[in-house]
Amino acid sequence: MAGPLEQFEIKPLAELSVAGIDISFTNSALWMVIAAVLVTGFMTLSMRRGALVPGRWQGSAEVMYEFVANMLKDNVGSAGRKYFPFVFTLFMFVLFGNLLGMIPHSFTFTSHIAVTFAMALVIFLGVTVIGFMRHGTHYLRMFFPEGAPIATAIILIPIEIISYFSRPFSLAIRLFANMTVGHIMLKVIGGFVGLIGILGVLPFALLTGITVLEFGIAALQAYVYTILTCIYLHDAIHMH
Amino acid sequence: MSDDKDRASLAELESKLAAVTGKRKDLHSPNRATGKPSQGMALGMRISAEMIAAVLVGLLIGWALDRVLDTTPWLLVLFVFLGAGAGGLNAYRVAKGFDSAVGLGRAMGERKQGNGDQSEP
Repeated sequence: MAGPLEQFEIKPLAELSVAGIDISFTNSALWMVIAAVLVTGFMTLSMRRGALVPGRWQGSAEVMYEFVANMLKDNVGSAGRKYFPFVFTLFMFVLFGNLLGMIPHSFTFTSHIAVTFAMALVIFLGVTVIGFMRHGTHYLRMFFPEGAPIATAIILIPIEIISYFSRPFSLAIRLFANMTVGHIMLKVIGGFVGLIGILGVLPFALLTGITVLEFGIAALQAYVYTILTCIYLHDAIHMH
Repeated sequence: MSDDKDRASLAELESKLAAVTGKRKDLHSPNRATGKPSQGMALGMRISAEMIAAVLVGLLIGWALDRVLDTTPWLLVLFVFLGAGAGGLNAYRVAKGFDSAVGLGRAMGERKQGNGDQSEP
């Protein structure tokens, strides 16, 4: 039987290398493409009719749209409106990545820290650039708390700087850890079902429950990833 | 005649709608994500990620500075402790619902108390 970690193995589907750098098309890339195609297809096809009274598909597309729009409005305010396309794309991509990973024999690309960290880095750099564009060097003031005694600066400023730089890491680690742990747990408990004969119904019942829980986590983590992006945006735009 | 009746039923509908949207507003009130921890496990995951990340960044900064300044291993040691401090601070913020707001000033402004003493390692 396959080990619990084999599901995370990256296999090249089409070998490709440019100037000595390996850029093979892998199973991870394949599922990213599938996610992107599904999201695009879902949004464009369900909104094609644009009916005043939405049908089922249009209704679900509108729910997604309004969910993200409200999240942005509540957390960033009206100034965050122009970042909606990015935030919405991010949410849908992560959500579909997590949910596609629940299909047996598929590949969960959000269970790789390379993927989650790359996205977190884009968010982090983007938010920092927005902060400096809106506030100039005044943005640096956020590293020193207002009203704190000046003597504490020597210890507070490094801590605040580390705290700021830990954002992309915590964002990346959280999503990656949740996905990896969940999938390993499913696989390990799944292994028990066949091993212990008739008693296998017990882990099987447990597995059923965990599968439902995993679907919940898949959606919840996409939500957390997006809402933290919104909060970082809020900090960069309003600063306090 | 019927116009008045229509108007009356319209007003009634209006008030019903207002009640419903009012209720929905309550449900979707702007809570800052973790203002109310939605699920224990998710919150636990968040806090642990926060702590790990901060120590990791401290380690990374210390290591890089050591390489540049040739002071191995002193800055590494120092920054790991600073990172642990930042991790504790971040975890505290998440638990209190300030979220990853950098700038202790903000957290203090929202609380109007406390002096960030838990940040000192």
